Amino acid sequence: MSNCVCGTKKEEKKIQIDVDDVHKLLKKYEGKTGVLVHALQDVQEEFGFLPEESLEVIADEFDLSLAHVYGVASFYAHFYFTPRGKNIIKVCTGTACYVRGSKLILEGLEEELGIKAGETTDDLEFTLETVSCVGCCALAPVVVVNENVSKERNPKKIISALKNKGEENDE
Amino acid sequence: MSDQVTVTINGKEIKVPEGTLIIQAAKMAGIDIPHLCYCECLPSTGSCRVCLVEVEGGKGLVASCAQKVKNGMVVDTDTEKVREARRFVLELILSNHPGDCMSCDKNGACDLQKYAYELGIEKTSFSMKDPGYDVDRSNPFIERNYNLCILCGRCVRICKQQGADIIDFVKRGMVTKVATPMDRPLQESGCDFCGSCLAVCPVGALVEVDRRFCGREWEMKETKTVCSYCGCGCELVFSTVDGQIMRATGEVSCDYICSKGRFGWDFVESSERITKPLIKKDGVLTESTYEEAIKVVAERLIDIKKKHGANSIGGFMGAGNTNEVAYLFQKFLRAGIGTNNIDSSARFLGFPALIDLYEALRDGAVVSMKDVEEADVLLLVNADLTASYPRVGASVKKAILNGAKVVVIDSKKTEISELADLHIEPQVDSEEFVLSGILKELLEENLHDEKFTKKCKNFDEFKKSLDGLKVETIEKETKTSKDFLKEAAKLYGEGKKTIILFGAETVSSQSMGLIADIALLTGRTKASVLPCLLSSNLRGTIYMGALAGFYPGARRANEIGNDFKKIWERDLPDEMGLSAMEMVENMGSSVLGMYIVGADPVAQFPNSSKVAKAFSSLDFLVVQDVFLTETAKMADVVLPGATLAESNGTVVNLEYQTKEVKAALEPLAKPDWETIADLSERMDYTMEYSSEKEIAKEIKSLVPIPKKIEKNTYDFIVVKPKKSGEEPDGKYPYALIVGETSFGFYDGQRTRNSKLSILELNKGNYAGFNPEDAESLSLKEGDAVLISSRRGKITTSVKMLGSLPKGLLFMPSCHEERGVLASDNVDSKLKSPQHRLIAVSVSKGGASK
Repeated sequence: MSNCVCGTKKEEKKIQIDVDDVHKLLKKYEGKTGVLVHALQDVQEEFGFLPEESLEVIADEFDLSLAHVYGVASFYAHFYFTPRGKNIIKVCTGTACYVRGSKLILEGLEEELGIKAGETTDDLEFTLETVSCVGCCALAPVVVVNENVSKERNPKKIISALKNKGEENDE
Repeated sequence: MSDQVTVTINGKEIKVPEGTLIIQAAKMAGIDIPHLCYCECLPSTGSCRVCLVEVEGGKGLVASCAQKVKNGMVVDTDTEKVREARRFVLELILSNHPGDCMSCDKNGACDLQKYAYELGIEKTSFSMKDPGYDVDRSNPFIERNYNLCILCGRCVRICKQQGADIIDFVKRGMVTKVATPMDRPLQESGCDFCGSCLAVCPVGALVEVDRRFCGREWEMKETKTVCSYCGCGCELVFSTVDGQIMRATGEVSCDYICSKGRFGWDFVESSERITKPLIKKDGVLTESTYEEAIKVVAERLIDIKKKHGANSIGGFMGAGNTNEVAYLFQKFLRAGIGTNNIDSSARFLGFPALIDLYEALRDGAVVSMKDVEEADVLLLVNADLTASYPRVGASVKKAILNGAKVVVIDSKKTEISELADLHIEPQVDSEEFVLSGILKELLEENLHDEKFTKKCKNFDEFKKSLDGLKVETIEKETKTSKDFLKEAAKLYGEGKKTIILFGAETVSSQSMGLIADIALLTGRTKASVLPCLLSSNLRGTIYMGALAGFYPGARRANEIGNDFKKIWERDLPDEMGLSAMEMVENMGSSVLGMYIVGADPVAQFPNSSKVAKAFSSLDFLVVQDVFLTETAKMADVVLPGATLAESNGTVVNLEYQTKEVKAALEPLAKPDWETIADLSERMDYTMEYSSEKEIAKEIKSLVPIPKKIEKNTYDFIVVKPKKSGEEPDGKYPYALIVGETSFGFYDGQRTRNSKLSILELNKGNYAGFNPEDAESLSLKEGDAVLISSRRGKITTSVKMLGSLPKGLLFMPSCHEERGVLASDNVDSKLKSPQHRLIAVSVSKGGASK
């Protein structure tokens, strides 16, 4: 089982994982049933998404078909099957935000990052998503950056702030 | 009966068993309730809501496929309220079904269309939504158009039940879709292409690629016949339009049919078929007329007989022809030509299973698929069921779903071994020791049937022989701890309805004896041992006497007296007749003329380069086959043969059931039996049959196939276990076995000419390696590799097979050069080569094909 082939996450979008890590995560579920979603959550927390190999391990460990595991995981919008960026930018396209111009922010971000909503940049730095409402319509239009509601609405500035922060952290 | 309840459906009173679903009860009362997600053979999900009915006193409408009947229940299936609800449900479904019935192949057979029509729905009153999915046309078998899918889930359930369990619902809400993991194409998802999903799809979402735009439902002519692949002998229904096969299905939509049965028939329509007789002129096979070809064959055979005697001629046939053809062929050789030199592929495919084992157990060796499904313990010996005899594999899977325990003895992993309760992986070729070990453990654990064994007169001798075998020897030879054998013995011994299944062509005849002993030791003499057979008419071919040493009725040649002489009106030869390998041995010296029907000895027999040389030394060779095989290429005359899809007659399957074969298509030339009869006529032995039915009548009058024969006294088969294959040594350090694959079959003649071949790496021309072995030889998937044995060498491609243990190589039996490596060492008693295990050496390189 030990065939570690961890690639550097930044270089390529296809992330390979060590299946041993998945086995370790699943250890606590040994002999239990009805824990599939918990296991999926744990794996996603570890890797940021659900790598295909991890689903195979889960199916194997829980004696379920891969089709079933994928079926369950894909049911929830919360689970992702492709790697996600370090920074998650969510643009609200709910009614209030929409009428106050969130479409323009989204288009600006798409242009700035060179990706479409729902995609992740090749360097795995940014994931751009839309949400339907985050519950603070008074602040519309709202952009949520890494779980924080951002005051900034200029796409260029949103990105550059994140990039600068990233560099500071790197130093 | 106490477990019967009375219900009233549409005013009709009916008694049904307790626990019956309303929809089933209605059917018993002759009332069809419309349904989409419900399917008789599958668990109900109650998801489509089309089968809603009114139950008196109940709240609202109920789904009749999910609700069980209660005593006194009053059900109405066709009230205005019900119809209104159904209309509503159907309109909802139709709003997400942008189907165009005009060009849909299911038109006329679509349940959705049928019910919409019945309820007078012209158009859905909801706004239409087109899901906009791409149609998956990436495989040549199943076209998947999920735009037409109504999410009934039948395919999901049947895939779980009898397929590879690779599809499920993904996502949710309006974007719910049936898909494989990661929504990959089927061929990349481990699909075994049994096509069960096709058979149950009520709409046009899943359709056979072969029939797309080729014919309407109502134009189809259906012919019920038998599959021409393995010995399971599944009943197939061919639907044809204008002499072209559209599809193959089971009799009932839920019947399991494997990929070969459902999709592998297309070799019948291959452009490689021989359509006209060929005569070799100046070294080149040239098209000729039927009459001329028959004339040449007759003249040459008469000439050889005159000069060298009848015994200088021999015949060999495959084990996939009908009983009628097999009977006529041996009659032609024995009575027409006057030689007992007649043999068949049965020699190589485990005929002792059908003669010795049958003699030892009689009824005990007659087992039906139903028996397998109902068993509580199954013991599998060297049987890769899902690849070799898929229908038996499906039955075992069903038994497992029913709670059966499974013990597998196999050196490699198989699909079933992964599901088994115990998988004993002994050293290759040590099965005889494993089986002996289980016998010892059965005795030690007192799991034997003492009352029964007392009646067997050689029990003491048998026990003494077992006692003489040391546990240490068994452990050493098998490299398996005796604890596993004990566990196997316990599981088997404590079972109530147990069946031992084995591959007739994959175990030694000694192992067969030991298997019979296990059944006898535990007193299980009824339906307890199932020999799995590879060829569609192995039993029939043997029973018809197409085997050296045996006459029709499987009667030994030295015990027939004058019975056949009288009916065939000819003196019969005194000699016992040569077996296949003996004929090869004597080719060019005492055997000078050969007649081959439906077999390819040059490619198939072990040590094929030697065999080819032997065949080239013949004076005259005539081959009757559907393809230009390696043997046919060497022939002086080639006669076109007929496939089973073009034949009428009977075959006997591995359940020992006689099944009727009916021609779905006209033969390209002539039925095989007619060709043999015409040839016989030319050689002054008249065979006057107007149809194969008359041959069947003659067979019946001579040797009716017995239903079942009871046996009262049994004897143990005393066996001294040994290893029978070639032991790997310093020069040839690897062991190689030849076996079946999911999408290849036997000699590959048929699968190679079928679309199925694309599902096998290099059409099955590869050698499988354990990944560790491959790494130590620095081989990667697809690399060219040179494999040598004491007989010859071949270059082939590498395929990684995690199912193999270290040191063992695997070669598909459909590999074009499989005969090159195999040993032609003949077992003196069976006169059949023991070629299961071949010692080989491996080196990287060589030009891969």
